[in-house]
Amino acid sequence: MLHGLAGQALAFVAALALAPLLSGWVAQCRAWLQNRTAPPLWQPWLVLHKRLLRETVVAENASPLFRSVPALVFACMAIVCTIIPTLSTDLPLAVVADAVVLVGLLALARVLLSLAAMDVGTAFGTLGARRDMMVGFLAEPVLLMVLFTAALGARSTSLASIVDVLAHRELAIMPSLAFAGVAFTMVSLAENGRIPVDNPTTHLELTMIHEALTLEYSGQHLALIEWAATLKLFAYSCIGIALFCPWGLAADDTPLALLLAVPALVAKLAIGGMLLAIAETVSAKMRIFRVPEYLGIAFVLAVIGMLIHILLGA
Amino acid sequence: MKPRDPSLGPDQTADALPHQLRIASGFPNARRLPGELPIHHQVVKPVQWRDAALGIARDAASVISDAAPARLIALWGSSDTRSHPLASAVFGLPDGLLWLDLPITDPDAGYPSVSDIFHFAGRMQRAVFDLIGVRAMGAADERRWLHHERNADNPSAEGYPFVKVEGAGVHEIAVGPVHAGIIEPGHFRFQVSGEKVLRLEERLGYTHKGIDARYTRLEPIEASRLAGRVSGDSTVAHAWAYCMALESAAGIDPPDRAIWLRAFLLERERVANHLGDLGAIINDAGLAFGLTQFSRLREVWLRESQALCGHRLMMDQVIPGGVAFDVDTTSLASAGKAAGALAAQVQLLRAIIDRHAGLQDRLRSTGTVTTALARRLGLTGMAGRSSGIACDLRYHLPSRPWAALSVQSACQSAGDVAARVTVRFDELLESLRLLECIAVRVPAGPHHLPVKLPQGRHCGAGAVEGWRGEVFVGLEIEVDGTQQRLVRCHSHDPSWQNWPVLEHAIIGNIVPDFPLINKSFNLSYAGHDL
Amino acid sequence: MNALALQFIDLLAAVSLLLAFALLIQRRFSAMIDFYATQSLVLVITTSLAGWMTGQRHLYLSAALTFVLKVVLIPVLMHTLLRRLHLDSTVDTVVKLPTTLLMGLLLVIFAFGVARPIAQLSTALASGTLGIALAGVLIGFLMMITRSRAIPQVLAFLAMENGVFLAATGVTHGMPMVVELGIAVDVLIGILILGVFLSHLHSAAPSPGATAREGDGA
Repeated sequence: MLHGLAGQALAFVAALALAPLLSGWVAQCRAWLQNRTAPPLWQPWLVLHKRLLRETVVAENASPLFRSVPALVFACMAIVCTIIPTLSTDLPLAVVADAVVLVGLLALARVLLSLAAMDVGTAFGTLGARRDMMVGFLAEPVLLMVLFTAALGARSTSLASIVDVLAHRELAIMPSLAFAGVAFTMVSLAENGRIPVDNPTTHLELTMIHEALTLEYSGQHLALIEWAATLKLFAYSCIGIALFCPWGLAADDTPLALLLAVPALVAKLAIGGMLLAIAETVSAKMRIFRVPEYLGIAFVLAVIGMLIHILLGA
Repeated sequence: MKPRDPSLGPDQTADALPHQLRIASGFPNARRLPGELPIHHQVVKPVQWRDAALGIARDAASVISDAAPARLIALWGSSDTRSHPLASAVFGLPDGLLWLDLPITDPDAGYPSVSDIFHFAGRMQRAVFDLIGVRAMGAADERRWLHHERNADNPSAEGYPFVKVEGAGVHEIAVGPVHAGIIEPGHFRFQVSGEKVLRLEERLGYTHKGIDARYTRLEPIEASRLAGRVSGDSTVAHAWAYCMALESAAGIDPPDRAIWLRAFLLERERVANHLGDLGAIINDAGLAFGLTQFSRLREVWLRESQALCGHRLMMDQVIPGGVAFDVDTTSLASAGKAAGALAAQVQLLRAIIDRHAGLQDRLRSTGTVTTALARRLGLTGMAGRSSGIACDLRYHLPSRPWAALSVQSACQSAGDVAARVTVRFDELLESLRLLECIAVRVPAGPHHLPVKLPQGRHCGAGAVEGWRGEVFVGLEIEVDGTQQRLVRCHSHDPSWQNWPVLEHAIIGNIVPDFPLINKSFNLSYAGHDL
Repeated sequence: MNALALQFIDLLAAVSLLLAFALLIQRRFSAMIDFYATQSLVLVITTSLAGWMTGQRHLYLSAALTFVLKVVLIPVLMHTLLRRLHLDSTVDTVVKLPTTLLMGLLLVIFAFGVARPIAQLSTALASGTLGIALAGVLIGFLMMITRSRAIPQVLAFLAMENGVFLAATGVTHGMPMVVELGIAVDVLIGILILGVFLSHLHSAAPSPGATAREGDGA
């Protein structure tokens, strides 16, 4: 139990520390792929540092909701990161929340951010909130389907148990997971505001989805929201790793095993980040009315994955 | 329309359509100004002013031929303490340009409006009122345009009476004048329903500097520097048009070498702008790869310009009487080779872009301006050629050196962003071909002649096909002994015609496509606000 | 090891079905051709793997034939055709894409349901392959119905044929060599006839749909 708590704490700290670095790594890979000079890996940390030191300016007509949302969103993402098995599957906190709650927490964060964006009453915030909700309500069922496909094999909705089963079963290739994997990749791109659904580096307010929600935030509020966004990307990457590439997790709770699991995680995240950067570099952003189509495809693929699992048992 | 056989002169084509209004038959009293381009000048009465506009507009609507369409190019006002204020308009006809001056004897009575005939004249007339205080009578829209502070009630953007769309679910999005990127100021008011744009209204004039008035306080020879700063991305075109006008007024003919070098600079400017804009358009569609590639090509190109003439954007290189720089044959030859090498790289990038399914999905049928709409609104220049309006001064009124180069004018009929990208690619490659030709054919001789202005008052006009469209400069000089001055001078940027079309191009599109559509036109704020 | 290879064939069949869906929803001709080539490549790998597992030499020959014909020759021919006819344009569908997608989903359910009892009888190869391959065939059918232009319809037909081959490989270790050769020659001749036919059609009377995009002076 004590070791379990230590593992949990290590996983939590690793998430907080690694999440901005993952975003920095993706930005770095993108720059390289575009023949640009890359910013340093720790650039997101520098930006966070800068924002935390800055004065926080809040719109005059902002309600308490607007002020509390950054902390709440950050808390949601932090909890999400603690219940995903990143280093080991022995997570004492994992009993608190299963995969369904995980999707719920992500939805809660989205709703809070959208409400805050509408709170100040600017046109861009409302525009962004509307678009983000559209992406969200189409993306959540897909994520649930993917998680259910994996949960069916493990006969449990707890992420820790699912990954435990997936990581320790006999080596088997499951076609259902191929479909689920593609669907999950598509939905992760949409949920994290990456190309082709949203462009995280744009400065054009009219085209923004996720960025438009945070236009009115500044200083420490903005720092928390940006940190939460990096945590979200980290969480999605870790879910992907846990479901589709669970090898390399710590087998037991000894400190040595946990520490050995860290480089494995970093290596997998690096590969994942590189793949994300490649996907973003080769594709253009789609029109916003294509997004429902795109997520519809993801949903169909997720359902087929589940069907293969149920009907064909593969 | 197929690219015309270059051996066929413009007169032969025009002869095939005898019913078309021409300067020679329709305006026999117009005086041909000195200079190579057939620009005619006439002082008219208010009745003739409107009749001329009506006649030309009728032609613009009816004629679909290979000749340049009849069109309004510019409209401006000028005031001088010593005489009546003048309203001036320039029309394009198949056999040349026609410049009409209308003296306004009674400023309170104004002058007849032509905004019901030529759509975009409305804004120019509003600008005339702002600048010289003479109203166009019968115009539907009399709101202030350039001078925001003179809006009597409220000078701020909120006080400007934007047209509102009423209805359930319709809301307004205000963008600008301060934008997120490093771009010029302009205000856009969208009326949207969901993501769909029902109406867009622009508000410009934030960079109004009073260029026309500033001209009159400068030495005519020196003022070419100011002309080159009307719109930074078209500095060569504006400076050349000004110099052409001044040389026309002075009745001098610049040497052959100077003209060829000017063309060399103009095509370099076109290449640089198309490279930059293609990258930006692709970036607005979310493909950052395109931006870095085109930016790289543009940067190399600009550095080469600096090496050739000492300025990246080639400012102040075109001066009255010729050009300010000279190059030796070896540098020219290597510049021609570089143009050929660039063409190969552009072809490569074009193949990638044409094959990119996601990108093409964004570009196709976005921001469509049909040929009919473009004719009605007077779309011009590169954007016009993307909407089926084949109009290119280099091609339709070829003078030195274009006549010797047989310029191929690009044209597409679809009128969407994809068509504008295609036209930009075609023009880019054609410009590179022209540069290769020019590099080996620049004649020897002096590159500059001293300009001596003749005594008395003289009008002069110049027009150049810049990368965005026709740039026109009309001026009048007065020389009294050693006293030289510009009585009046006006620089016209084609952005005047195309800004109103943007309002129509976005209708029915979705809000997030606006930056993409806007960038595909890439109109000038500075050139419009003057 | 054999079990793993069996699962791998199942996985390849799933990837092939994924690509069939990609074909179904793709709007651009050239991308469709690329997807078809990829799907054929998956078929090549599947066939070779089945050949290695079962020790049947003729499956290698079949894989090589598929590679030459469907991964290289036909896609190259189609691309040339597109370029020469300036047909590279968006695909217009009879039914809206989301609807098509839902119909595809229903077909998959149907195929899986039908295949399950059959797969239980057969002990030859992977259990899932038949259902997935059948779904691929049905998706090909659907694509042929919902597309209104010639080239996507041909691609749909070819994708369907890929599904048939996949089913044959997965369930019965491939068809007899004579049949495979016959089909291969048939497909090739079909594509050639299509090419000649389309070229003549185009030069005789360019259809408005094909030329509207070409513009004027370009």
